Amino acid sequence: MSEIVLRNVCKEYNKGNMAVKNFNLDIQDKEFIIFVGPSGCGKSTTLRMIAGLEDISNGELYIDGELVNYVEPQGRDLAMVFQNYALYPHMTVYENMAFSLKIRKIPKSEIKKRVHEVAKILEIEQLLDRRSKDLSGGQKQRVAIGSAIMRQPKAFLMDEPLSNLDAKLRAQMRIELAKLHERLETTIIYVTHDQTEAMTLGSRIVVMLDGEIQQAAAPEILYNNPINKFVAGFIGSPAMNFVRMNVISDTSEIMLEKEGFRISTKNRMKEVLISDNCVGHEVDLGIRPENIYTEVGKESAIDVDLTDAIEVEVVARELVGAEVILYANWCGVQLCARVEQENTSREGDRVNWYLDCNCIKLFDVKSEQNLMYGE
Amino acid sequence: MNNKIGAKKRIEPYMYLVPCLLIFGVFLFYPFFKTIYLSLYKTNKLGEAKLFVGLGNYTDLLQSSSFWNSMMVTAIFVLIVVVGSMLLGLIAALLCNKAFPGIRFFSTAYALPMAIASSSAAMVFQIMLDPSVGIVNKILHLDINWINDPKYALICVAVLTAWLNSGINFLYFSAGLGNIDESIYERASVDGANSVQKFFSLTLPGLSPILFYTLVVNIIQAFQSFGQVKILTEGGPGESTNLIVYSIYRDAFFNYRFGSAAAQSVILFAIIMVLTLVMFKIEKRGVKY
Ligand SMILES: Nc1ncnc2c1ncn2[C@@H]1O[C@H](COP(=O)(O)OP(=O)(O)OP(=O)(O)O)[C@@H](O)[C@H]1O
Ligand SMILES: [Mg+2]
Repeated sequence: MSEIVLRNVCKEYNKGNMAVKNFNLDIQDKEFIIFVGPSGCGKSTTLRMIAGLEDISNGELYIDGELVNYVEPQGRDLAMVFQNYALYPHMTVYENMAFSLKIRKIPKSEIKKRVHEVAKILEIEQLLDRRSKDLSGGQKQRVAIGSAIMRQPKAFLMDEPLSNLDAKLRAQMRIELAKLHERLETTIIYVTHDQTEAMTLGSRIVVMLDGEIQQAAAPEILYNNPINKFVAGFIGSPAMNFVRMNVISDTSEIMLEKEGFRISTKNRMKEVLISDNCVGHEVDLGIRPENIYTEVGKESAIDVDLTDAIEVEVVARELVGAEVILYANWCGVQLCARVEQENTSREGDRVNWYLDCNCIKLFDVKSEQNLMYGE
Repeated sequence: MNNKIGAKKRIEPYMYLVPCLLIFGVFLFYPFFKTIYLSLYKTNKLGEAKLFVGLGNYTDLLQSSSFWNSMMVTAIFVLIVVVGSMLLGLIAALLCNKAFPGIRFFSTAYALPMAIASSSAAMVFQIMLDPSVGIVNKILHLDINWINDPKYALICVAVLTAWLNSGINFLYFSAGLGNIDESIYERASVDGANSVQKFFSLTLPGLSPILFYTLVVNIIQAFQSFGQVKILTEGGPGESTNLIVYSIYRDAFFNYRFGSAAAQSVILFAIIMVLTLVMFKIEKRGVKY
């Protein structure tokens, strides 16, 4: 059992410089919470406040209903993987991993068993006798994870625990972490910059910007229903395309228009544009790279509703595994599309692209709010 | 031709060393060998070697109760000084490792003994320990003749020396503590370690290289203490503070027994050398990092 509740938590390092502002979050037992956000947005700071390593300038932190603002880290029964590993340099890998158990006076034989078990999962068995300062970054990181998961604390706090691993190992560790979460049934709070980790591991993702929560929701909700332009652009890789469009009314229709290209709006999109008084103004159109098509009639999903063609000039082509990412220029806006490998567009080609009307998002130009949020 | 250049090349490095070697030669090597030489002779009052006695000076020493007393006194003295000065330095460094208002003042105060000459410190202590007007007796409401009581004299000198030597230890330890990564303490806190566990599992091992180095330096320094004995007790009362260095001084410049003094110097040298070598041997096994 471990519920962690943050109420209006703030962190002010220097006067007037807020690293975390009014952070409100209810973390349920057994949740896998992911913190994402650009560098410096306060993810580590929040994690360190939960761990008790930073004073909370304002607000309350509850663990299992108990106010713990003034409880020392030792009394909170959490385990943490630090962003900079924080291994004990003079100890071996084994001693590092055994430390938290040893100070709890767990019998030696049991410690040994646990260490070997965990070391096996993390593939660091051959390193157990090595001094921890003589390890590579990725090895250190695995030792740090190992040291943290030796115990079964109330919650795990992990600050970018896989950032230094190679792609294969990272995928493997991701799976191990998912298994671990399932097996231990413990709350995990996890910071990452990796979209895949965030999307696959998290039961809820918290998107932060400048110390504030933008949106906290399940991965698919964040992806399909972002609250604002920042979240829309931050979640998903490659990032969502944004195009500034004019909203015009033509006879009974409301249209999005740019340089002669028009999209006629229907249903909810139309309602929203009318109710928000957007007609005659501009909005930002958002479309994900995977919702741009290069041919008509090849769309796989059924409920795809393509727009008229836009003529773009391809400026770059990136091969990523089974897919190709195309970057193109359309009337001075850079667009990015994710297409299949068979696509033959090259740099300099002028080609037709089509947007999927059903996946278009609209954002207010000033407030950057998602106009169609909460459908 | 080629040979000449080769020779030049070979000589060149030594040329750079000449000034240093010269100074070492005059002030270190010459006195060192001269001492060994003298220790094999009986000398006249001017310190000139007159009569070769071989190891005679040494055998005389080993049979002299005064010499054994000196050894004993020195051993106790070194023990108190080394333990005292290292503990003082370590505790001061630990206290000053956290940022707090006025830290600069305290750091300076703890490091200050380093800058005080041992003889002037001894003079200050002499007044402080004075049985009638000294502040120590006044504060403790005691009536002890600290310096003239054989029971206390050695301890007084040793404590004074420990305090004097603690300044440099404070600096060493402060530097050593500064080198320990702060984040491992944070991890230990989250792991659930209390302050005592953190001290023994993180701080001490983290300091161990510097701890060893200070230990060696402190032992050597303690063996060589002279000024404070000269001023404070002059080896007395009786011979209760007759440290080996002071005994050497007395033998040479009061009793004019330069041979015996030289022999004691050689023994002191041998003791320090052996101790240092042993410590380096142990270090290879014991010190982590
Ligand atoms: N000790 C400190 N003193 C002053 N400012 C700090 C301190 N630690 C962090 N900050 C500031 O607080 C803000 C949040 O930092 P934090 O480390 O939480 O970012 P982060 O989201 O973890 O970034 P990253 O993804 O790069 O790790 C940053 O602007 C940082 O400069
Ligand atoms: Mg961080």
